[in-house]
Amino acid sequence: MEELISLLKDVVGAGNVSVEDFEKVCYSRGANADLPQEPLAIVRPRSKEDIVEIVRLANRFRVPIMVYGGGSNVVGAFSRGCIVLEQSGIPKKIEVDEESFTVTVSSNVTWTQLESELNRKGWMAAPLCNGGISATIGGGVALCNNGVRSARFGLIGDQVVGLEVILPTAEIIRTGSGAYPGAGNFVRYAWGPDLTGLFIGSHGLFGVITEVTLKIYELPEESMYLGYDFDDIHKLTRVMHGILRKRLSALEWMLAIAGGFPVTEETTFVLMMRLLGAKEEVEYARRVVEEISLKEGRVSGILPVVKNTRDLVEWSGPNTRIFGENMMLMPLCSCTPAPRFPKLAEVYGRVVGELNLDRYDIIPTLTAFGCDNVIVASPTLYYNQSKSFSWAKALEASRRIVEELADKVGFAPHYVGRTKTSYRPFQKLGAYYELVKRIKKLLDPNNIMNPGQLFIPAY
Amino acid sequence: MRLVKVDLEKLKGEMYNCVRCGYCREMVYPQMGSFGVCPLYEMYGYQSYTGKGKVLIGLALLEGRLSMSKSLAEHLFASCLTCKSCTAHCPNEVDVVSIVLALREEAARRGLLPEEIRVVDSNIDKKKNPFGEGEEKRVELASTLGLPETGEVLYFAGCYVTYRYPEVARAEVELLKRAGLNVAYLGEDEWCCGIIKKFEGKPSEYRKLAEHNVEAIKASGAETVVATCPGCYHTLRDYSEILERGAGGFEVVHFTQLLEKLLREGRIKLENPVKKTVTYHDPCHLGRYEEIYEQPRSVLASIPGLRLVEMRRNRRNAWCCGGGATHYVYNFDASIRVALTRLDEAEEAGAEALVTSCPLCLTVFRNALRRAGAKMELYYLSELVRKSLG
Repeated sequence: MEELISLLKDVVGAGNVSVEDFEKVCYSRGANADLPQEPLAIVRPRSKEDIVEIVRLANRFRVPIMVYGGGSNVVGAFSRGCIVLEQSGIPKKIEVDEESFTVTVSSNVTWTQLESELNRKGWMAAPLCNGGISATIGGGVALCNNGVRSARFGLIGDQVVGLEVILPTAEIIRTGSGAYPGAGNFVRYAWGPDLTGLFIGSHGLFGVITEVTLKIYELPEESMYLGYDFDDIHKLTRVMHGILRKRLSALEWMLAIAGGFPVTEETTFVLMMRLLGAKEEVEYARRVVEEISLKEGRVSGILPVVKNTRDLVEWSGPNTRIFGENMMLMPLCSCTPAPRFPKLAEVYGRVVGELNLDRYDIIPTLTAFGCDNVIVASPTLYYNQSKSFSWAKALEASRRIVEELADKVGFAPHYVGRTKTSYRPFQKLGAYYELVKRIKKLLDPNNIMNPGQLFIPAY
Repeated sequence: MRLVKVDLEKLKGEMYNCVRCGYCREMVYPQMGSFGVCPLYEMYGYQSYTGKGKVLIGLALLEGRLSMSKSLAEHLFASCLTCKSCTAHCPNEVDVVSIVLALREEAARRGLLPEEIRVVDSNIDKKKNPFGEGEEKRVELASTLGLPETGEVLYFAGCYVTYRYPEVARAEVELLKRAGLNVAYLGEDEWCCGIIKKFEGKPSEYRKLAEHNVEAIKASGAETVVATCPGCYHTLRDYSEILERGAGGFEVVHFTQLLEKLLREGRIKLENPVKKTVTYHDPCHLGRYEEIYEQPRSVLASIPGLRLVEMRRNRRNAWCCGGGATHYVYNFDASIRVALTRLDEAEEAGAEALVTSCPLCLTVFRNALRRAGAKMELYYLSELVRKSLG
């Protein structure tokens, strides 16, 4: 491998390649429960041209590539012995196109950087990735996350107009209208089939996403926070479903939290939301939400815990210390229609009880985000990182929970990564699974892009 | 943060509080937008510069997946300013600085400290100051100040002020005298506070310096010790935690705290206008370490004619000057680049002058301006106050 390292240094400069053991350790895991997977080298390309050369070298030496964005993934995207593409050295680009209401952004920009820049110009993107503050545009698209504003705008993929991708064969392509030279990136469906979708949620299997074009929206001035509590999961669910049914243009985000899990008669539920829109839209949405929540029997209107976007991003993930020292989160979130939420809570609660998770220093929680026509239900296990038995039990529980929810509730997990590839639901995908695998072989004959993600065994 | 004993094994639990979310890379606040958290990560772009990186390195060492090496030892000094910004922005408030110090302690134990650090270390051993200069400067300052060695209020000048900015000591002592305080000064009995020993990973040698200083302070009969250097202030406050018999019997205050009180009580009056638009740079050891944010601003607000403007990143979010306790010694160029970023922020804020209350920050800023050939007036806070004295 010395020859490869030397050639990589020729491409990006010696200072942009690290093979230091301590640096490899820093790129061995994200916010996931997998054991560390140490790379071969960390390489900081300075441009797309550098990436093209690195991809060529990876093919020549049959060494896998993993693209590193914010490093906050929860699905174990790391490959042992890979070349890590650390994107921090690539100049960041954020180009707003006010003609087509889109923004074309380099994949290493974080969602918060994008939001800040757009807000400064009177625009906003939607949704903002729930991968946390450090999550990058490329990572959010590769995993097709939900996040803030999903209640109105759906998953990230629903907002993507076009992509620029460096294929495993080192060719650079643009999807959507961007494929036409000189046309610009303004519409997703142009010539031929929608290949943009091939890369969304692909876990980086089909190439290096270098640029993303997203729809943008004028930033409205009026906002309002609403919060209610409920003493019954069915009432809460009817309210969530009723609100989603109205497809309110001012519903920015909606978050339901079970106060205590598993659900018992004592459990209370909180439903928080933020309205964002023109004054009339917000007022209309407030009236509708009030009516539905009153009709379905809310206990009271309460002050929301979350008062701004930063709170929401932070609250919904990494401040695990509220659950105790050394606690790590293992989210098992997936989309499902809102009316299935009580059943989901029941099955999840039963599994948690059967596995006696409390004896293993594991705290289960349940939340749900509104997401366009459905909810993203988020069963999450908080386990103790300092205790190996807690970690092992959490992994066992993760498999059991995902499998039972898929079988009995109709749960459609999309964050699969490396961690969950062997779970039963993904082995039942049949011809669809095989088709995606064939496409992977076609596009990436040497299997250099993120091998081991989604498929097991890796071919 | 109080460092009772730096030990990597004991910090295992602290490291397991990190969920690897990456908030130590970037932060966002309503109305402020997004901004980088770690000045050195912003510059170098490798994860090992972040708080998360330090945790992963620490855990790998403990779990036997990584060994301490010369290159890691050097990196531990090159990659952290100990500015505490990562901890200030961490959802779980992981104490990254303690982890870094424990890692440095491990490097020191194996004799792997970088040469530049060893030079400073040796200077402190031999001359009780990091510059390796003779104690005659302490004697000279004592003579200039004309203060007794005993008294209720002890002025602790610190090495930087003694050896590089004696005029600051003169200005501050004059202010204290104007307020009618009986001020004492230890002269040659004032040794390095120990902050460099502490931050280079030599806790037992740090303790020896602390023991000497505590004995000297007690012998002075002081009830209050006034430190002007934020590093000294933080360290002197740490003494009671690290010494077995404690450092009781005296209170430690920062000069800006005392000055604010004296101004509030009308014991010092500022009458001469200083017509300038200034911005205040929060030193890390005074701000994020000790949460003294408002007193310096209050002092500046007392100066007639002076207009205070804030940089975008201020108080808890303030960008480090680049000095760090040992970083400036080891990675001078990087320190200068960090300082230039901060000076740009001061200019963007519309300030004619940058004011700080830390001699190390002042030194780094001065060198940065010299290096860049840029212009920005720099002031030590007490200098401006003295200009305004009636």
